[in-house]
Amino acid sequence: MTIDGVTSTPIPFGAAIPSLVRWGMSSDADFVFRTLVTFGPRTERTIATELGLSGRRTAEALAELREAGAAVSTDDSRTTTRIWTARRPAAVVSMLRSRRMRLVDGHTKAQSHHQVVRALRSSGVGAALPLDAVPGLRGSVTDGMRYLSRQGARDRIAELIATDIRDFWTMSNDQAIDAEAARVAAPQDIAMYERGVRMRLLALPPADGDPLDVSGHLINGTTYQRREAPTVPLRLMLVDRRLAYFPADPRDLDRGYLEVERPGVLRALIRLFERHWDAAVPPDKNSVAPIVLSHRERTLITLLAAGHTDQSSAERLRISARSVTGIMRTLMDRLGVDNRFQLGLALGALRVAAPPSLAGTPGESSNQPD
Amino acid sequence: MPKITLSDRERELVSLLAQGHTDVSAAEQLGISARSVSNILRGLMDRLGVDNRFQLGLALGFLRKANVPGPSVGSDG
Repeated sequence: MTIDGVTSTPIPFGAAIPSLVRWGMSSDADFVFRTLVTFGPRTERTIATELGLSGRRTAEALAELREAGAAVSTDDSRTTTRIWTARRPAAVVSMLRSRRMRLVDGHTKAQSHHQVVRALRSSGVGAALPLDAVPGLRGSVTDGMRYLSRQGARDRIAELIATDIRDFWTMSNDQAIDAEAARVAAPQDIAMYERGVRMRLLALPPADGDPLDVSGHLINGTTYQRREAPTVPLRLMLVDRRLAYFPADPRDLDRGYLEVERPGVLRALIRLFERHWDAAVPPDKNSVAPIVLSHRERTLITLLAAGHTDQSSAERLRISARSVTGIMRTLMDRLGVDNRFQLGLALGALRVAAPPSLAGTPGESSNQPD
Repeated sequence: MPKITLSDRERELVSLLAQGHTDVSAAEQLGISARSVSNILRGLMDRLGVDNRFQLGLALGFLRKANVPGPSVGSDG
C-alpha cells in the first residue's frame, strides 16, 4: 500500500518535528504523532504501552490525527492489528496551515454582517435597523437605538469601561492588528483585567497564519478568555449584556457604530455570540494555572514595563537591585520560562502590563524615562 | 494605518527566542550572524517603541505575536 506523503523511513533521532499543538491539535495527538514519526509505524496497543497512555487517550489521539490527515492506518477489521503510520511532518503542517488559514475579504465580511442585520429585521425585533444606508444624522434612530460616530463609539465605550461593568464581550472579524486600535484598546484591557471584568474575545485566526499566535494556555482560565473560530458573523461588542455595538457599515468602520439597548435585538445578539462562543475551541485545552501577582510584583512589572531599569525600579521600590533580580527570578520560575524576553511574552499575553508605546493614552505625549 | 505584522524572518526569530533560545543559538538555527539577530531585534524594538527585551516581550505578548512555552515544555539546553 502506498499513500502519498507517508513516511516509512523514520526521521533521524533528535530531528526537530514541528509541534502540532500550534496548529490546534491536542498535546496527546502531538505526542503520538512524534512517536510515529520518530519510531516508525506501530499499532495502537504498542503506542499506548510505549507512551504509558491510556487506551482511550491513545484512541482519541489517533482519531484526531486521522481526521486531520496526519496519520493513516491499515484497514484491518480489528483495531488491534491496524498499523498506524504518520505522514511527513512538512506535508502535515502545510495541510494544517491551509485548514486553519482562511483569508476573509471585505465582501464576505459585509455579506455576513448584512445577513445578521437582515435576520434581525425580518424577525421583527429589529425592524427599524438600517440595512444598507447609514443613518443621515448621529443620534437616536429609534427607541433603544443610537447612531454614533467612530470616535463617539470609542468615547462611549471608554466611559462605560470606567464604570462598574462586569462583562465585556467582543467578536472580531479582523485578521490583522490595527496599530491605532491596539493603542486604544491596550490600556482599557489592562484596566478591565485588573478589575476582574470578565472579558471574552472571539476572533478569526490571524491573516499571517502566524502559528505562534496566542498564549491560550496562559490566558484562558483567567477572567480574560480568547477563542478562535473559522467564521465570525460580524464585528460586535457587548457590554454587560445590556448594550451592543456594531458597525453601521461593515465596509467602512469610519462611518460609525450603532448602539443598541433594545431588549429583543440585544437578546438575539447575545444568543448569536453565545452560539459562536460555545462552538469555538479555546486555543489550548490543557491550560496551566494563571498567575496571581503580589502587590510588589505588580508594581515592579509596571515600572519595568514603563522602561525603568532594575536599578531605577529598585530605587522607586526602596529595595535593592538584588531583590529586583530575585523577584524576577521567582516570576520566571513560576511561569516556567528562562529569560526576561519570555517573561515579557507571558505577562503581555496575560494582560498584566504593556509597554508605554501600547499603553499610552492617545493624545498624551510619550514620556520616555531617562 | 500601519499594521503590526512580522516578516517571516522576524517571526522565526521571535519563535526561537520564545522557546528559550539564546541569540547565538537562534542565529545558528537561522544560519545568520548573532549581529544580524541583534539588528532584527533592534528594528522590532524601534517599530514597537520599546527599549529592552523585557518590553519587547511584553509588546509581542500583548499583540499575541508569539507563543509562550509553558512549564510542561521540556527544555533541551
